[in-house]
Parts: sequence; C-alpha cells; structure tokens
Amino acid sequence: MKVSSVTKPPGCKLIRVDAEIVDSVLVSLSVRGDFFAIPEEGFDRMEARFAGTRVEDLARRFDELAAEEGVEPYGITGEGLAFAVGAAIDGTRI
Amino acid sequence: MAHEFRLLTTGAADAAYNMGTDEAILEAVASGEALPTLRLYAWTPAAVSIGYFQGLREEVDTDACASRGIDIVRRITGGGAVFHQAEITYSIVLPETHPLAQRSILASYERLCSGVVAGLSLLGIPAEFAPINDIVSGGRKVSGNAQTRRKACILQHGTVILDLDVELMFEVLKVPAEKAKGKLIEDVKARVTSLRACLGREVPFKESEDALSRGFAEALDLAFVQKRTALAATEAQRARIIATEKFSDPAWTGKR
Repeated sequence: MKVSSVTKPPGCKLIRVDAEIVDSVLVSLSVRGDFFAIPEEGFDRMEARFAGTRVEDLARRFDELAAEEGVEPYGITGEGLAFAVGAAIDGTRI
Repeated sequence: MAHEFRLLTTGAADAAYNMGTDEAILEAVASGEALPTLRLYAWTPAAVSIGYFQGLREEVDTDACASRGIDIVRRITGGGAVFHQAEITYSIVLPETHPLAQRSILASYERLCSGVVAGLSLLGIPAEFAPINDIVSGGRKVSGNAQTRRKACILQHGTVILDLDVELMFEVLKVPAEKAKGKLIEDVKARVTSLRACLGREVPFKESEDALSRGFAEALDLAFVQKRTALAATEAQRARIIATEKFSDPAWTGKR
C-alpha cells in the first residue's frame, strides 16, 4: 500500500512522508520537510537505505543509519519519522 | 586578539547568484584562498528559497511566482521556505577548526546568531536566540537561520526581516490543506515581526547593513581586515558557474 502524511511530531519540525509498504516492510520511503541534517547528502543516502525496514523497526533503523552515515539530524528524529509513517498508515492528518 | 575576517557587502542579486556566491565563498575559505567571511546581501527580484529537504511543489506555488516575477531557489541548507523581499541576508563562512567554530551544531547556531542579536541591539531592538535556529524579539520571530558543514567549513546564512508583506508571501507559498490560509496569515502576523514593526519606522538597508556588520564584529570579536563590495575574480567566476550549473538547474530545484 502507498501512504502519505504531513505531520509535526513532538520535538520535530514539519515532516512529509510518502511510503510504499508491503507486509509491514517499507519498499520505499520519501521524507521531506523543514528539518536539518548534516551532511545533507548523508540523509539522502539514509532515505534510500530505509527500503527493507520493518515499519516497527523504523525508529531504531533511523538511529542506526544516522550513525553509519555520520548524519546529525535536527528537527527530525527516528521516533518522529516513525510517528509520521504511523500517521500515514492510520490516515491521520495534522 | 580579534579574529581576522573579510567583510563582503555585495548588495542585491538574483537568487541563483546569491546562493552560488555563498557556495563560492565556502570553496574559497575551504581552500585557504579567502579569509573567513561575513557577507551581507539582498535579493532582487524577490525570491522564495526552500530548504534542501523540502518538496518544491508542496511548498511553492510556482505559477504564482512566475506570474509575479519571483525567483525560486533550493538552498544547500535545510530548514523551511523563506520569502526574500524586504530583508537583509547574511552568510558567515569559517573553517571548522576556527576558534569561533563549535563542534556542536546547536552551540554553533547560538554562537553565530549572537552577531545578529548584537546587531539588532545596536538598532535598539532587544532580541534573543531561540533554538534551534531562530531569533525572536518580544516572542516574535525576526530572523531565521540555516547552517551546513561542507569541505571542513561551516556556512551559516540567515535573514533579518526589514518589512513583511504576509499576504504576498502566502500568494507564493503553499498552505497545507489542513490550515485555512486566512488563519495562517493571522497566525504568522502574530508570530513573526520585522524591524519596521519593532521600531515603528522603515529601516533602510544600509542602516541594517551597518548595524549587522558592527554587531557581528562586537559579538564575535571580528576584525574586518578586508572590506570588499565584490568577490575576488576567481570567486566571482565560480559563483557564476555554480549559479548556472546548480542553482538555476530545474533538476536541482525540483530534486524533491
């Protein structure tokens, strides 16, 4: 299923997600918003590497990938991204 | 001992060239060809800049911009969409090894924003840093800032709002469907301010430029050993190339 959301999770800036999910596994994830992440290209690589992540593991995977890619995010957290994807699945809007 | 800096007051330029200039300065500082640099500038025509991670068509009414002659540019820094009209913009570039640089990005935002706070104080406007990246006066945002780190350098740029046409801003910026535009306009008027609103008078660009340059010098203990109104020749050439090949490229602007 393809899902989308626009949310402002607690402690985060505005986050927009588009996700394709099959059997609770992310096939693809697009993340956009007002947040910061340095280096920016590192976040691009993180985004591509979310494919294959189970939805319930997204927050942990975010932290793993940020560490691996050397990314310092501000205004977006793993929990915030998981919140945004959860809201997309639930059909929630801000 | 004061930190030797270059002060660039480059005046107004279009969005792509402004962003190309910031990146060319970063390259020059990174290579050691230029001193750490504070640049003060403006935008003509008016422009919308979006953050690195924003979706272009989600944030900007591109048709409205085209019909009004308003430029659109994607920054290399994150953050939100900014409408550049009546404002002064600064950029500051320094190596990560510089004594003024902070390892913590949050701490460096506060340190570098202290220059803006000091500049506003010189204009008679009490202001304070509001994490992550804002400066507020009387609880209202008067400056937004964005930082990136590349080539072992810190580039931070930000705006100080001289005057704000909120109605025009929301003609070119998209409003989430969940929020009524009228309510959002009233919200913004309550949460955002300008130098005109703070002082009850128009603040000429030159006055704000002088105040900010002095504010940065005082807050960060800078000595402007070079004061220029234009880039060095090689920098200017790089700025034009970067402006053309990157910031004017629809593929870059529309990458998200």
